[in-house]
Amino acid sequence: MSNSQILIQQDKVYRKRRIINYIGLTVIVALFITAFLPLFHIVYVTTINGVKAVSKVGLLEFLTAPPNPVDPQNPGGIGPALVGTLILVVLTTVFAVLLALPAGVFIAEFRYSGMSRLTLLLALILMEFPTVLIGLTVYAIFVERLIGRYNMLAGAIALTIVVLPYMIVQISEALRHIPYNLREAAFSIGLTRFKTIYRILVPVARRGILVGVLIGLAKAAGETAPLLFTIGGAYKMVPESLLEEGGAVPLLIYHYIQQPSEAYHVLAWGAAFILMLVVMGVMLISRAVVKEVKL
Amino acid sequence: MVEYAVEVNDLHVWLGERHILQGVTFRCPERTVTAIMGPSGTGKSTVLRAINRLLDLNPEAKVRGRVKIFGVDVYSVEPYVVRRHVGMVFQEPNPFPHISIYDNVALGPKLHGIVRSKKELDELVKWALEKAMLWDEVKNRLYDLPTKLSGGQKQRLSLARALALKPRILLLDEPTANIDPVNAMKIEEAIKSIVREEGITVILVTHMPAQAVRISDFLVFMYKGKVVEQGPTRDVALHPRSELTERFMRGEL
Repeated sequence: MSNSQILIQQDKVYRKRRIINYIGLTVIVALFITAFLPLFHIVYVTTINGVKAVSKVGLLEFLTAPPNPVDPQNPGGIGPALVGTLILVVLTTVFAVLLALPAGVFIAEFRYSGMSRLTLLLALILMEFPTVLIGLTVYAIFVERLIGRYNMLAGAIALTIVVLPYMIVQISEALRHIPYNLREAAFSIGLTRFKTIYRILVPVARRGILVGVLIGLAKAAGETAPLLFTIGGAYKMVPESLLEEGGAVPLLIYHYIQQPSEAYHVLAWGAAFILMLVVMGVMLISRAVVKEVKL
Repeated sequence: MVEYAVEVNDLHVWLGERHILQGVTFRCPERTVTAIMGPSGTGKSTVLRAINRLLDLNPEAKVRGRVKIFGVDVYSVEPYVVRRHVGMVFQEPNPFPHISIYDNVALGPKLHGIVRSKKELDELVKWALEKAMLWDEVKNRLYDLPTKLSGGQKQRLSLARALALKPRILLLDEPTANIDPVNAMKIEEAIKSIVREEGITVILVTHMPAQAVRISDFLVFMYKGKVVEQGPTRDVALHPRSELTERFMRGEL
């Protein structure tokens, strides 16, 4: 067989491989589209309906005014519910970070102890827990027994329990990824375990920790089930104290979309659009602002 | 009477089921360089981690035997106190990536309250960086992150960080294994001057016989968790008593 014949024969083999390569690539692209289609669809539908709803009264009016669903020409906005969500998110984030940071550090830095493994296991179990059950439990304790009425504090507590495991796992993972030799370096200059953790490990893992906090924050802003039996759903006015009934954007969407009148639906779509913008905005801005520590 | 900075006596270490060190005994006179030499996986690094109690971090590690620094059993005092006086430089350069070059050196002295004023701290940082032969290269970018430094510079920064605590003993775990020859020479120079001018006692772990001969006063040759031979460097290098030592010096092990 001449050299040119060998080349031509081998090229035939490669042609077959190229075809298989194209088929494989097509399948992967198709799978990618299937996976992301729902996301694009949600963003598209929410944007189309949301922009229509918000432009009916104007953005500022929509963000600040109370709802007025009895007037289809001027349905008002979601101001008080937005403030309610803000209160819940801030409270939840504070509570959850205070609990999740020590728990995450404990899981990552004392990973050989039985208590630490148990903490991780419990966090994973809690993550799978139906959020409606968490809402119900908090209702039984903080609404029915302790305070006697729907209140914002109970909502924040229920949300804290929901987001806590996500934050704990994310924080412990962020710390776990720090190379072992940095721990050795810190201990080798005589730092105690506590100083090693808060001077070296937590700052080095700050980006991962922040991502954990943001996942929690986004979840807190979007969760509905824990609020069903806890905050009541007063959408027309901002609560004067944490022990009073209040509203939140996801709960407003849930309640209003079930109403038979068009004005309610307009408000719900507008609220959904704002919620989506807030959650996505927080993610994008903080990713851009907080720099990753290069190792 | 000779004052010993470090005395290791019948040291056994287990990591899980593995018996890593099997009765290691040696002594390092003050203001000298002792090189612990031997092939990879012999337990050289484990000896260093037993001296400054970094082995405590490994829950699988079990230690038996005695390690004394300046006559004090390191296992009878707090590990932080031991590490405060026994500096260490590791095989992989490992400066803290999130703080500046200056803060890498200054962190130890600040947290241990060694300095009283900013001026004193500045002087200490300069001194440590000079001793590590890094000052000239970084004096104009002290507040940059160390991630921009080369591997060799990072290693010298790790050395400066250890020196800033003014340790009495310095443990060096193959400090030149992962860096280029020029930087390696600078580190060797720095080690010699530290012992000569500051009176620090150095224990150097190395798998390079030539390096051990260049720097050390005493040689400890280890093989498979045991000390095979030890003595003044000249004696061990030129007239090894054990065949294993001879083969290692020739590069056959």
